[in-house]
Amino acid sequence: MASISTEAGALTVQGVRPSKKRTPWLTVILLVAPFLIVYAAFLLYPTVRVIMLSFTNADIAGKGSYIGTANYVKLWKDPLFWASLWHTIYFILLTVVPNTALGLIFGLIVVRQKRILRGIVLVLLFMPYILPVSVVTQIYLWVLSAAYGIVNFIFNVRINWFQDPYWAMPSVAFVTIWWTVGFNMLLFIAGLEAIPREYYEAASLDGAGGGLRVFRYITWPLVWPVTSLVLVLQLISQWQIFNQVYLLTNGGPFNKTIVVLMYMYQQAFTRYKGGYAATISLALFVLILLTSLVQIRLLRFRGNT
Amino acid sequence: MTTRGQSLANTVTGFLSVAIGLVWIFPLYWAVNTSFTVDEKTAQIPPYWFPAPILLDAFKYVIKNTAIIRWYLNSVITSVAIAGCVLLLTMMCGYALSQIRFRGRRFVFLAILAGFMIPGATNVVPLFMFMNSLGMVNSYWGVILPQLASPIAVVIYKQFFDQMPGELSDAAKMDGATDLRILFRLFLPLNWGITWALAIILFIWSWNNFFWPFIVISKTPMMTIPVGITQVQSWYGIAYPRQMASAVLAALPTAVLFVIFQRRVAQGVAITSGIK
Amino acid sequence: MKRSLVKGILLLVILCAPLLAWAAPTPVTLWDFLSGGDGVRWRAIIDAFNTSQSNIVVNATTLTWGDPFYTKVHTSVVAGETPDVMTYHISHFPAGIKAGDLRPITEAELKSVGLAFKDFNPALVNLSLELSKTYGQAGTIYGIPLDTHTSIIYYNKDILKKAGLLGADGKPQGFTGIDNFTKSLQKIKGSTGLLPMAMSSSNDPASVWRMFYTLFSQQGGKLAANGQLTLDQLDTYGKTAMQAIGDWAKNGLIPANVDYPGSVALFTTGKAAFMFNGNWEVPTVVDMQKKGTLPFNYGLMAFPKLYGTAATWADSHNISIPNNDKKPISAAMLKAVLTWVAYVEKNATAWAGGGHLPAYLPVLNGPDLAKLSPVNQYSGQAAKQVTLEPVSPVFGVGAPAYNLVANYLTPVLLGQISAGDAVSQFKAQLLSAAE
Repeated sequence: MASISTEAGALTVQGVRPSKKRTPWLTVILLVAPFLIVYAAFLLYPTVRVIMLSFTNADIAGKGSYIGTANYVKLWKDPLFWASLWHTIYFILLTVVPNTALGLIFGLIVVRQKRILRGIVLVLLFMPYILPVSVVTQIYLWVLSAAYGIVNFIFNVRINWFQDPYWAMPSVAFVTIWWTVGFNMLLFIAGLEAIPREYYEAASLDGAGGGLRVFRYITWPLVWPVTSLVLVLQLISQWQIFNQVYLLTNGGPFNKTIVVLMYMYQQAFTRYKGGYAATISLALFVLILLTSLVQIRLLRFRGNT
Repeated sequence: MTTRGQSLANTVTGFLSVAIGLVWIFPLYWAVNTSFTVDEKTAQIPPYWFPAPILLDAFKYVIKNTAIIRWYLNSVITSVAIAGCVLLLTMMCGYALSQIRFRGRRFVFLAILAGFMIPGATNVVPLFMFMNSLGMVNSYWGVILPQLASPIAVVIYKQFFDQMPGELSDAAKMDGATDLRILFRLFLPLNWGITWALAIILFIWSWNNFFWPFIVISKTPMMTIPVGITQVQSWYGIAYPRQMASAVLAALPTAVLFVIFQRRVAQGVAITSGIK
Repeated sequence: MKRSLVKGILLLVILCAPLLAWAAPTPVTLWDFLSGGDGVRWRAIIDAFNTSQSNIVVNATTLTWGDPFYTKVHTSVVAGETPDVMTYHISHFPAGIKAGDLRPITEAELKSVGLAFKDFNPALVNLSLELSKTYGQAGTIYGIPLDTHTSIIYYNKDILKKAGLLGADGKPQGFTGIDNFTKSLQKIKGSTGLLPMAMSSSNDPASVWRMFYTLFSQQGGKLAANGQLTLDQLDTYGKTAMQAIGDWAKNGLIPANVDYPGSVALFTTGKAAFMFNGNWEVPTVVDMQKKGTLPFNYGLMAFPKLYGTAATWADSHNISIPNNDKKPISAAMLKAVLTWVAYVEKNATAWAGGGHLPAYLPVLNGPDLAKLSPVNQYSGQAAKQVTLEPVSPVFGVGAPAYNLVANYLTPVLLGQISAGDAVSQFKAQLLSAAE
């Protein structure tokens, strides 16, 4: 059909469009409202309420009164909160970069294989990701059990992995990586396979030499968008660690693996301090927001050089 | 055009890769191995590398003496409901944001994007209070409702619907089709692939969700599987075969789903991360 | 024809359904935390009750002992979704009553099933009434006492004989007084090379607390009075107690870092002479000996007197009714619950088989208990040494003190902190938890 455009006013008509400029509001509401209601009620409203609660001394049922900034003062002076913060940061250092690196390595391993072998290796490496976290922790509580665990037998040691002050957090980090690296691996596979073959063929024609040089000058820069995406997702995800710590070490030994969310949980559900727990939650929220924004900027900056 | 040297190298790396995969999955194998043995054998040194004979005692005990069947039911009901409702709600919203020009469209979209910045775990305390005031603690609704707020699914659907050629919807409108018909009879069938991928990944995520069901459910008959196997002590002392049997049973559905729908799962992972 | 037949059947079923509900037994939901050796006996009692009559069916769920149990109870009370009845430690009564988690039980309600306050161990009932007066409704109790349980010493006769520490009466000799006790433990290690005393500490603050509180109380120490904390003796008696435990660990007389199942396994496989544990593992050794899987002759005794007073940590299981403001317990359900409780109390000898000292006087003072072996090896003496946990919302199972023990006292066994420092930090944390 005709496509008319005039210079003045840019009246563009694509095809034959009935000139119904009236918005079908009923339809819009029908389509948009259900999701928006759920979204506002269960995501936006709680976020606002967290802020409100942090100024009260509410218990876990929500009953309490306004106490101003007392919770914030308490938080600032609370050694266990700061300890939980350092533990979380320690955990992040142990997981974010290693998990990303391992995801890339596994991705490289998988894309190198052909057809059937590729399918097999992919399944083997990805399988842990589809397990529920409590299954993963039950498995590792057995595998790393102090007395009869298979790992202690194979390496001939008697370490009480999850209750050892030195090994507890690294063990939790390892379990986390074992469980979630499959996700990163899939993203890297998508990214690696998006690299046009011509680059590699051109490189080998130019005699680019060993695989390491190819990796450094072709693969790495081209897969960088995926790498930075994975790093950002990892950071946001590991800040929120709770399940593995609760199920593997319960914050022990000697509170050495308490992380921020675990401390929040204890305050809310075992000490019944809802208002204070909200303050902790808010602090975590702000930290996640700030650090991920900083990280995004840094990664973009690096990617541009 | 591979030379013999390259072909040998390929075989070697092939073997190495499978070996790495096997070592990586070993803990899972060990759990399954243990679930087929009896208590006394698990405390043996050196350990049994293969279950011989293969005993189902642990499984029988778990099925008979725990509420695992009920937990299966709860997990199925909640995961199917969540996957289904999220798909329905978000495809409708995504369609409207993509295809209908209405006042405030940008605002709504930005509000939904803002949700990406909110980490789910920090809302647990007011969410619990909210569910409690609605009387939904220890109920299916209590588990399902908060997990329906999925901004990412809206964004995905909007992006895919944006790619639908304008002529398609125009032609349909010419024939007098309403937006609802266009969505369900036209756009959805054309996007079956990503819908399936989303459905499966949503199902797996909600099946495996521990934190929220753990907070909102305290009564045993209402627990989902991941919560039930850790919160209820169904035997005395440490009985590793039974522990592993319940873990294996809990993992079975998502493992089976994955093996059957591998491609869809991979697709689901990719699109929910923003990689097309 | 077929359609009306189907309709007719449906109608019949719908009409009969209420009848079915009426005839069906009342289901009582019970939450407990009994997963030690005594859990087996507990389940047996419940099964026996269910089969003995057809009006009430008790469905028990065992949840994780400690913090997780009391957290679940509280959230279920907040949500109005409570079980009908539950086990509860008397040591958690201060915190539980204060939090509004428990429903008071009057003597009149007890009388409806033939029970009265005077039927139970007066020490427990009087304490319970005191707690009600301080934290809740006076004149009521917040749980019906089931038992007193305490820490005892399980011993391996064969190892002791080899070390020359078994008397002619087949009982351990040379373990009275702290110096003799330590010397004898060293003698066991020296002459047999085996672990003198198995005691868990890894991921198990309760065990460390029980030993600490026992040694502390034996010196005459008290941590609370009239509902207030009195922590000064921590710096003296507490330090002495912690020093003793720390030295035992340093000298290899107790393990430094073994978990609960590991410590039980050390004893039951014959690798330790003593086991310091609660009486709830008695069924474990009894059953093992019956099956022939216990490789030695065992004995049981009350914890020896090491300092001025013969005292041992103890706690008491009660059967409590959760408080539900949204759906208060109905009269019919209350009757069903109390009927079950009466059954359990009257069959307390079966529960004593779980190692515990029953609270129901007719059984406690009756002839069957004195004849019940091996419980009678320690029950008489242990009953005299009962020292319950300090009365304060900060102490007791599921209260802050246990976590603080894990973080400040347990490290002494690993040599990571001195006894003096540990105790003063423990004290400081207790005070701030009490605010």
